Amino acid sequence: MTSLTNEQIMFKEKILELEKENISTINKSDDKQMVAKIIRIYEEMKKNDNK
Amino acid sequence: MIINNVIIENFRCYYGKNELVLNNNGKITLIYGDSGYGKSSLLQFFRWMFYGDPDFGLNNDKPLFNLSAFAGCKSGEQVRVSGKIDFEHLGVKYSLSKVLYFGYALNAKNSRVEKTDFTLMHLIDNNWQPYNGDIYNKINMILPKGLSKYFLLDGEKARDIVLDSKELKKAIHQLFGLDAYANALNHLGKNSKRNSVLGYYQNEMTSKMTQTINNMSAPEMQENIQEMYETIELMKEKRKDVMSAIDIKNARRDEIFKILGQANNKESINQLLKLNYDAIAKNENEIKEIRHKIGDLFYKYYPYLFLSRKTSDSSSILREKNRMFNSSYKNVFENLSKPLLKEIIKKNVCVCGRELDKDSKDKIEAIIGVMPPDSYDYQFGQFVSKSKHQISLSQIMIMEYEKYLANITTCEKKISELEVNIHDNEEELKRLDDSKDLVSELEQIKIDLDALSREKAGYEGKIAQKKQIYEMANKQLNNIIRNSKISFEMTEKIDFFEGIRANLENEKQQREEEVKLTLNKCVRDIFKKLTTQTELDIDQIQFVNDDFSLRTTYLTGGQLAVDEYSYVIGIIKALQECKMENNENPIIIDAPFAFTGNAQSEHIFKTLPEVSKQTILLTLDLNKIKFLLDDTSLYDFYVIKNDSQERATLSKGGPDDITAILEKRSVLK
Repeated sequence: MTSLTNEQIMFKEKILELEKENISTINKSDDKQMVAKIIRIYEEMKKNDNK
Repeated sequence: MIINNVIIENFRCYYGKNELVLNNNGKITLIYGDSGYGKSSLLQFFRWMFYGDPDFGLNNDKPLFNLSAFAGCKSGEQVRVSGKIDFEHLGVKYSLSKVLYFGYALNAKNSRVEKTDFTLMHLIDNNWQPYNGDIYNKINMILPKGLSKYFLLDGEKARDIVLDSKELKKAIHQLFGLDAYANALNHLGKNSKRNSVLGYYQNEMTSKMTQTINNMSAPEMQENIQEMYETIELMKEKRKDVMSAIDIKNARRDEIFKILGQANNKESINQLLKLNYDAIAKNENEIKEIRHKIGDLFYKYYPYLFLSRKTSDSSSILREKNRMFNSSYKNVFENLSKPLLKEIIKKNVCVCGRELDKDSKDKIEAIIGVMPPDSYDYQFGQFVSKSKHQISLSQIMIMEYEKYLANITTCEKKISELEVNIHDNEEELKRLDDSKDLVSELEQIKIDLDALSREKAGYEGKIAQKKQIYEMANKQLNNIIRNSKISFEMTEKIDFFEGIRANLENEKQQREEEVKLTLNKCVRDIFKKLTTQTELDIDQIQFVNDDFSLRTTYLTGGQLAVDEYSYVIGIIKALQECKMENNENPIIIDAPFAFTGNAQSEHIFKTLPEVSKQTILLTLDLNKIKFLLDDTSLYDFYVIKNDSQERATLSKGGPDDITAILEKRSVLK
């Protein structure tokens, strides 16, 4: 299996968590919204890392 | 989810408040309801409560409220339709309650909901508190709506459910958390996928590049590649649809071949039918003979036993009295006969000259009652001395009674099995009679398959063509990217997500393998317990296919039903083995024995308490499990009574109800 950095592992878990949450919600976010959500969270994380 | 208590009020045909108390120790809740009495309404009540989405099929035009309750409603009043389900999930107690108030109208069709109360309470630190989030959302998390038709199952639709592998695949993906992986991979996407994380960063990267490729700017080239990718994916989807249509047609074609292959056997089936009918007649005769023997036991031997007991009782009393009165009547019984006994009763004076006491009178009357007609004069003294042999013979013969009863049960079981065989044979004959239509269907399938194969080939050609151009363009763009000065930040982002993507892909594959193996094992284990097909080598059967679809090789409904129940219970077991959260679910089946014969129905009924923690069966087929109904450790019994179709009530039933139902159904039969 591809080895990941700690940051990648954490983010992977975050993505799975977001997906699980979306699956169990009746008013689901569509694909576009989910992609935007992942990018936004990632960019925020990067911004915080740079601070 | 484990359900503890259910209250249903004025919902559809249910009139007033009705309560159902459920256990969670495996004991089946068996609910009997005649045809049209409200079994399906009860099943749909759960869908209404949990998802607000009942499916009444052809009866959809009827209002949700009870028409009898509505008829009793006056102007300005409301009809209250309500439901309450108390359940437990992961150790937390919940109470789900829904009340709809319908306003008065002259015509029921014009009545509208004026007020709705929908609450979910949960018990936290011994306090009932309202759940403040979206209730349907919460229920969906506990018992996913996508799976509801497997756990709230219509037995008559078992075949459709097993055949509809697309739905089941989706449901299994959801239950075992595989869809989270699939969705994550879809959203991370690829460089060429427009609406994806990687596609987004690829666009970001190319937008900063100034080089041109084939007179196109890098962003234009990227745009083209993404468009091509989408077209290819779309065509792949269409090809997939065509392929599954081909699969369905092929399966139907094989099924028809199988049926037509049996067409020549019509004569042998008729012969089998005759043999079965003969065997039934033989068994029925045997039962008659055994009943006759039981009759003999009572009429031939029982009087000896009875009289011997009475004689011994009475003579010891009389001897005692004789002794007391110092009477010289030593053997008063020596000359007793029926007319003499009658005379004693009539005169109320004993042969010893004293008045009869009540005890003696009762005993003498009892003896007269069981003595043969007056034409047979039993001399009691002679009876005692001469019938010693008969009495001891009677004592032995009476022991045969239990054996005779067991023989009757065996014969009745044999008859049931033969009736199932006859039913199967008749079904087969019916199918063979339809073979003319099947030949024309086969011809149509052949035409359809040709057209579908051409369509598939068309897609394959187009996909290959597009793929070639796409790969070339992608290669060109990647060359340019490799030779460009791309910011470290951008490559870092793409590498970050590509790493996650590859890892998720691996994890998903591993998880899928694990789920497939566990699921197959669990379904197989349950199937082993539920089926009566002992000739099958079950360990060799692959129940869950590589794509999570299910094997669909049966032609008969009975075995499809066993497959279906094995899948549903097997899924719950697999969830427990995979340590998933939603691993306790009730199974509610309407018409569970719609397709199963007596032997298979009995076996399912006997086995369900061992394999499922909570099962509710709504049935009218009590006769299929009649031999197990004495064993009340297997089930709790409820009856739906609904004489006027609109006043259904649900109440706890007892052995008398069962006897009455079985008698009624056997008369109907």
